[in-house]
Amino acid sequence: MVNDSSSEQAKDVLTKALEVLGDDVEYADALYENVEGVSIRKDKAEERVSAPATLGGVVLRAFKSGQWREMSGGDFSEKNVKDMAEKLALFRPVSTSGIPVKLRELKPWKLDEEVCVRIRPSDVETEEKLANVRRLYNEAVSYDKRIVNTTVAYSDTTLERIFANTEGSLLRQSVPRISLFVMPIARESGKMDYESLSRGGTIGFELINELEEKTLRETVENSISLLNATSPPSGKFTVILDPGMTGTFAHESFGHGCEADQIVRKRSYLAAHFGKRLGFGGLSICDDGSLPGGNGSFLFDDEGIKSRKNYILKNGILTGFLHERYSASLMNTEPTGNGRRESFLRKLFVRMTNTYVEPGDYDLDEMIEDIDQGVMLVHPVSGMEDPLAGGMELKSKRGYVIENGKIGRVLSTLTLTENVLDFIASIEAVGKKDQFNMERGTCGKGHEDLVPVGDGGVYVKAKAVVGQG
Amino acid sequence: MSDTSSIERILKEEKINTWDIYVEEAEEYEIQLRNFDVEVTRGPIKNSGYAVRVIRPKRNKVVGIGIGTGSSLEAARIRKCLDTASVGADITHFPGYALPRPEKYPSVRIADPKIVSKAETVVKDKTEELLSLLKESKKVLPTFGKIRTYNVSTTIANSEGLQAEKKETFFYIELALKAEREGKLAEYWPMIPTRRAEDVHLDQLVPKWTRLAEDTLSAKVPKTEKTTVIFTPQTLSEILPDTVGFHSFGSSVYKGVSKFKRGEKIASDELTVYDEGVHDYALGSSPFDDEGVPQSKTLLIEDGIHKNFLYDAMYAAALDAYSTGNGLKLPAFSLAFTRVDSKYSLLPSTQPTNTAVKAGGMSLNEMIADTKEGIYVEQFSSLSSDSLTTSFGSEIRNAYLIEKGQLSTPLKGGQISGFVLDSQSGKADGLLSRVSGMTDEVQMAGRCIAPYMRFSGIQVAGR
Repeated sequence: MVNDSSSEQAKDVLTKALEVLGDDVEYADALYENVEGVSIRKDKAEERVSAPATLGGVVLRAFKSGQWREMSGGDFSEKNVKDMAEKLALFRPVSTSGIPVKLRELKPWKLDEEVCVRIRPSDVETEEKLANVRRLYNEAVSYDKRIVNTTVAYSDTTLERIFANTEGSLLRQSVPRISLFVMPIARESGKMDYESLSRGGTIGFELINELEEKTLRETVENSISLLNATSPPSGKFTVILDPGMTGTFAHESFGHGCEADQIVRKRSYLAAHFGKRLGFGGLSICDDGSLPGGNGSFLFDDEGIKSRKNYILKNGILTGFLHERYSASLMNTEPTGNGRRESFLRKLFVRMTNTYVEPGDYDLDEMIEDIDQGVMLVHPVSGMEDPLAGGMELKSKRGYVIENGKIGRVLSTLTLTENVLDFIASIEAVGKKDQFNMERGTCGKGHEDLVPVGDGGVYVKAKAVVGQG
Repeated sequence: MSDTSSIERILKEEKINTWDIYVEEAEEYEIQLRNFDVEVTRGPIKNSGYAVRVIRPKRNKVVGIGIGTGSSLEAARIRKCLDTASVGADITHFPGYALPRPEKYPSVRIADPKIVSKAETVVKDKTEELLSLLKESKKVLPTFGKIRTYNVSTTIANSEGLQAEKKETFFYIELALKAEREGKLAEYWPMIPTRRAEDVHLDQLVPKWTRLAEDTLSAKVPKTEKTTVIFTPQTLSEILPDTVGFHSFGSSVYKGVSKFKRGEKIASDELTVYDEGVHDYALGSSPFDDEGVPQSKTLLIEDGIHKNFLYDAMYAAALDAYSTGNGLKLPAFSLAFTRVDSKYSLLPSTQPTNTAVKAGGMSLNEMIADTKEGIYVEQFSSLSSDSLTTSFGSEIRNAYLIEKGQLSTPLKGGQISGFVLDSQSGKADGLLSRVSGMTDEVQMAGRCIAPYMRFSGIQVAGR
């Protein structure tokens, strides 16, 4: 290993490895990563303190005749990285069915920056972090005797990534990321249920210090309220999505179909709709890797492209796709800063960053007042993409029946399904800026390759099939 | 890396008396496809690392356990790892712990000799076979594909003299097959993790996957009703381990969140379920768990009655029981298959090995013929269930209506939902209280070994 090297040494190792590859390939890049941090999890019985999932390593990647070849490992010694580069230089692509794509050349650039936060998690002792976790746990369990257990999970990471390529780019970023999850479990008369609180992003330890007591109390009260929840009605209803659910729709249901690697693979129903109107003029969806504090934010992606804001749906019209370098080259456009890897052990794909629905003109009361029978879905649990066929599945932890223009009884665990294009066409109202909120999330490309993302937006009103989740 | 002596030497120098070491070395090869072309060839992808746990007794049974992780065997790095573990042992609290002692391990096969000796060739051969079958069929387009192998070596040692070693393999295939007709699009998106490449019979699977993709082109949305639903072993693997497993954990009992009480009726009479950790080539099988305890076969449910709980070393100590070999390092996302190469940094917790359902008495064809009206679901969008409440619900991706004992109209869209276990004791509204048939053949799917199962009175929402 690994990770003994200073940043300057790491840059030197990567640059030398790329020199070894020389003219043997059309293009090559190298990415070094080092992860430091801590995870703490406390419940009624246990206090777990552990390290991040991966510690660090390097991935070298070469491009020739339209194909990639990559090698990676946790051993970052100069000798090992040079050996990897020598093997990679021998890369002989297999025959392809068409004319191989040439990567579009990009202007090299340099960067060495840290994402600044008020209190760097690495400056706080583990004991202090554990003390805060214990404080939150004690507060949560003390509010009501029906709380039989509470899980408090805290984690922070500082991810250092150094990128170099054969075009001459040499970049370094250090990105701190923090997360907090509190789940009070309520039990009464043999019935159990829970709500949870989730916060996080590329922000500092101030997140923990500034968490208000009333926020925690509301989470406990929501857990208890679910003891009296009923199962949701089944069928098609007018629905109101809270900002978190709206974000999960923007990301899972719509965003995945806008990932250009799916277009290139011929796996997106949205390919045929580029430039067309899909929704009303008040609906805009964007993906922004440069959003300050966003859980999916960074300075440059894993191909060295600067993060930026990209509209995918603007004023109801499908205006753009999200790209890495290959898809951008093939589709004759610019990469959008969406080439991401879970770690040096995983392949790079087009991935979203912070995806959200931009605010509109409606108050929440205004949206609800004319609904005779509907359902409000609150607090996303998960969503699943269907980029080829445009199906949609969103799960929420909590919901409410809407009857005669008023919010009624509480519902536990809901699933919303619909055809995405029908759902977008049915959106008739988008909430105002004061409702805007971003949630912390983790996104998989299909079933694996998990990267941190942010999802959010405002309340929206639409029509969809609802059932239990 | 598999030699633990350098870590043990420094543990001795630091006068740390109670510890265990987990060392993992992994090597991966992979080809990813874009349509009929190779998009990327990956490998070798090498990752190795170790975790040292330091255990300190506190008061009564309570202990502190700290974990330090590293990937370098340089003395300074090992000392840093031990410092982290020692601090963790000082500041944390757990309800009990007793390090496992050396024991004889059961014999169970978990490695594919072909992957052990020629992993890169296995990946290339399987890719060629897949592409050849798909090109021959000409009916569907592979939009993407992943064909991957892992070789993983693990060593566990502890201060009680335990020394356990194993070599295991994994094979993973995932792809999406697209069918297109008159502007309509449909796909089937299989994902199969196994121990051996030969367990993925592409010559049988590709025609089946092709038919499913093509049939989905003419799929309808189901109507809203309560009806009979047949689940495949694969769909069962997405809900059973997370629910039956969770409520069978000693840790869940200790924390007051288990729905189960030994001897209580929790499911239909015909249901018998084991946690089966020693089934040859099953995904969750191993001679020993991630704490060095022999894995075993534990009866969880017999004829609908709950029988036994599952324990790791921690909750065995806390509850005066014996570990059942269920102390496992598993990631939070049970479907994610990517952590087999870096699980050393996780702390073990109680987890199911393989959830095995005893077979029933009819073939799948007989089960369908015996169903007047219902739905057969081949694949859901994402059928995860909530471990605590056991609530589940998911969009139907590939399914068929059953009419008069025959598969008829393909279905896509709408959703199926319910609870896996009864929502309240005695209410009999859970999926497992509504079993109305099981096939006589079981299949390994994910961390499940199960027959096809039929359930009655299941909520469907759609038109």
